Amino acid sequence: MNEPSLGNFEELVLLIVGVLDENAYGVSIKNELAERTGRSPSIGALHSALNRLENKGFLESFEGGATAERGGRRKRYYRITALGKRGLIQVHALRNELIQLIPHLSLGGN
Amino acid sequence: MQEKNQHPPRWADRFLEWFCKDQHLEVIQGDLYELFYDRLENMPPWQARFYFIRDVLDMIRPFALRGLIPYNLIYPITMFKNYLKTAFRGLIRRKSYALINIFGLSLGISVCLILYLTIRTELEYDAFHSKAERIVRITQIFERDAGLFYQPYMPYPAARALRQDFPEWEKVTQIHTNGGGTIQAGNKKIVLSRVVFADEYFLDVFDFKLLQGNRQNALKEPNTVVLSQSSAQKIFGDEPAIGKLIKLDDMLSLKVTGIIKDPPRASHLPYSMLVSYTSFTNDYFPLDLDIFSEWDFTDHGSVYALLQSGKKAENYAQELDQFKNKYYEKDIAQILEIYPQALRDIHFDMRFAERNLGRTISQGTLWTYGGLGFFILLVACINFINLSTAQASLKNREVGIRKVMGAKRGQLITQFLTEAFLLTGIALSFALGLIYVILPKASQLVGLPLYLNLLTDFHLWAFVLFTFVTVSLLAGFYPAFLLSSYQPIVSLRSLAPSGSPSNRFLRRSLVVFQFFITQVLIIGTLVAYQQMNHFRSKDLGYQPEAVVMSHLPFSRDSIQSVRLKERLLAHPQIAQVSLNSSPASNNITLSGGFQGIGDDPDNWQSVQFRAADQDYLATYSMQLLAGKNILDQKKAIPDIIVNETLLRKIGIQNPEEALGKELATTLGINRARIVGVVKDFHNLSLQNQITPCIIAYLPENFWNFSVRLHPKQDIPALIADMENTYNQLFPNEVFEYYFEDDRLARYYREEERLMQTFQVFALIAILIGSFGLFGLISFIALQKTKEIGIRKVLGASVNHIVRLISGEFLKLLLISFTLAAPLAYVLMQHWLEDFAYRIQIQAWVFVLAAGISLLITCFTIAYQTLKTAFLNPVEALHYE
Repeated sequence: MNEPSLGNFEELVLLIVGVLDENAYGVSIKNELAERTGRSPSIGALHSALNRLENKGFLESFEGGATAERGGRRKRYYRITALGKRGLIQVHALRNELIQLIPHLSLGGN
Repeated sequence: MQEKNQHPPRWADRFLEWFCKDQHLEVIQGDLYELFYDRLENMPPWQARFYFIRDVLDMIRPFALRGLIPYNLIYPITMFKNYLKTAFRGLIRRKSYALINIFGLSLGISVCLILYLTIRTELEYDAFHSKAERIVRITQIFERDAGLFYQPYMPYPAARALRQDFPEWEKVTQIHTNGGGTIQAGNKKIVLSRVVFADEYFLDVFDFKLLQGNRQNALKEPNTVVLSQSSAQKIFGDEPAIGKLIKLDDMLSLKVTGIIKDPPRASHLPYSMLVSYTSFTNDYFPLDLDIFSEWDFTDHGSVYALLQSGKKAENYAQELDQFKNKYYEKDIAQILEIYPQALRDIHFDMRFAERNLGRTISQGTLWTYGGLGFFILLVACINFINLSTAQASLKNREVGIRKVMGAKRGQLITQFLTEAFLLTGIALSFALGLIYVILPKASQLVGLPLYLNLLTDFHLWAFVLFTFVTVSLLAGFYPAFLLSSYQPIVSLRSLAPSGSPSNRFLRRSLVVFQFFITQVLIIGTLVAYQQMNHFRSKDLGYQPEAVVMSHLPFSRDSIQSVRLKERLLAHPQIAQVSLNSSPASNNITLSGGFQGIGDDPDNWQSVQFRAADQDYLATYSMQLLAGKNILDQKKAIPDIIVNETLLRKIGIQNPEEALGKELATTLGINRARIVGVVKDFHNLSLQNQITPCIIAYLPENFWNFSVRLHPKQDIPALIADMENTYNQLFPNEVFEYYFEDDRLARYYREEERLMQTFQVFALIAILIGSFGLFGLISFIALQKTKEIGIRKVLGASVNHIVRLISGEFLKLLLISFTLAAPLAYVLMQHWLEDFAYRIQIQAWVFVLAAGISLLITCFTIAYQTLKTAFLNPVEALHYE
């Protein structure tokens, strides 16, 4: 069975959701992304990616945390699923392995 | 911290609610709101709002959309984004191409918009009256043997008679227009032009806005006046004017009963003040008749009628005929037509132009404006078409790949049209900016105040939108059609399809058409210029230079006038002084009839009178052909001087023969003896033929005095001296003066203006066309670089190469010239027909026009051609 693939931007979003742990929802993900990577995706692109990740099973979501600033509307919080974690680890392992194979490339701290 | 009163734009919010799936809506909306309020802390609200809108639009993504938008509509949106991106990249890559197109299109669009504003402003004349469609001006048309004679005036008893005989008309109002008047208020003394006497119905018929006072009875009582806002300002400054007294022409004491808004510029009826009609009496005329019962006398009195709804002026032709026969003398009624002229026609009816108070413009001029705008825009569109099709070879690879990837033809057409729309859109925004800058200049040029109000002017927006779409389609359709037709296999093999014969034929035809337009414009400009020059330098039969004229006071006193003349003559720098009824050339003057003694009493010929003293001829430097210049006293059978045209009318060839002959004339002299013959001078403006003219000593008609100065004087000092003398004798008057040559120039102002406008726009058209040509030749030279390199290696000379590149264009120029010359000839011949004294269109005009366009073309293509021709073949062959 084919496991769903993880796109570049999707991977980044997934990582940020993991970093934010319990506090990952649209605006906070967007801000964290901007802060950590300097890339500021449009909120539309972000929601689109979150939606795809959820459909692929890498993320799960629950709603809550309405604030006045949002006009009393709830947020949708995201959490990485087991499948998501496994996907991240696989990608990471693959990268690591490949990077080790590149001659004359020294990774700082290694 | 948080600004509670700021909201995201509501419509964007609603739009989001409309398209977003319910399951996502709350979360997405919440995020957008949160972002909005976060941003408010870092940026001005408008910017946060802008980002909000952008985010909402960005949410139009498949996952978020409700079922209401079908999926197959989303992909075009995505593709459209791609088209825009490709188009932008294309423009940036081909900068010169984009620049030429944007330059041409924005110039063309601005000209077009300015002409649109001009035409619209002209067409809106008198439209501000709510009953405009029902208002008519009652006019008289006389059929004299000199031609038809158009008078926007009626005899003074006419208004009352019309009210009686046409009870079904809602209102009839009459006015009398004085050229100008001297106003006194306290110690202040000023001259106001356009003093209008208006009766109590005037404000019922017309919508001029009364600011202070009572609309019903402001003009009812004798000796009352309604001042225009600016007149009140001039007379009283900021003090309240109502209830104050002013004195008009040292005759009438008037109480101010109202303040009226200044007439809009688009009014055929300008006024500085409205004096109640009941203040208007026989005293105004130095004639021994009761003008209010005299059907035989017409001055500057006009009558307007407000018809009942549903009726048109034409419905009354027959009744007005009966009316005419009932009131007028039989012999006048025979040659008279009473013509009800619709209010909205007044501004365009050139037949009455000379006697209208405001400007009159012919519809032909408006059509010319419209045509110019259209053709200038067309020239710019042709640039676009030519440059795009010429560059087709640059695009064919892209087209090939898109087709291989599955693009349908319709999609490609959409793509290329997007490019055209984008380019036109950029040009349009430049044009709108440009218009703001050049609008004041343009207003001067067309002689109209033009306003550009983008916020409220929906008609303008409609026109802008229309122009945008039309230009984009006109310019973009053919290139899109052509480019999308390429077969991928051919495209990818990179055979230059721009070389296909039909494509080249079209491009050549378009170039010919561009040349054609510019050449017609060049020839037209040259002919118009020559005609205006002819006007300016025409021998008038007298010397208008160094002659100053001024009016004698309205309540004139002949002894004072003679005294004035004597004192002025005593001035060492004044050569001649003459008291008279009007200057030498004057369209509005005393006119009447004459005939030989004992002729058929029904057979009068029309004649112009000049009332003048014996210094008239000397003052204007007119030439006496025969007889004497004795005009110094009233006689039982007065002496008169006639012009040559009059002699021809009575069949006398030799001026000497005419001396001693007697004539019967109207206007106070029943019989008169010819004592002198003056060489023909232009007694009317140059648009008209010279008419028969009689100069006679009629001191009761001395309304003006003319002064000939010794040449080369200190003019300001001299004028000050004259003013001094004038004020000593007429302490209650204001000295106003005109230089004769300035006054004459005013007769040709409209023509001069039209010609200037024409010149400027012709220049713009030529400029746009030249730019396009420059782009085209640059591209062709580039394409031929390799060919030229090879030719040079094989021994071709520079001369040969130049001919190779430019030969085609010169051929096209020749073809277009043979088409343009006859059309321009016919058009300009038609234009010249309006002038009584006109030039012949000569062959050299065409030679010159051809020379000019040849020069422009050579100049345009020279740079690229020479650059390519001198190129080192190594460089050329290196070019890939």
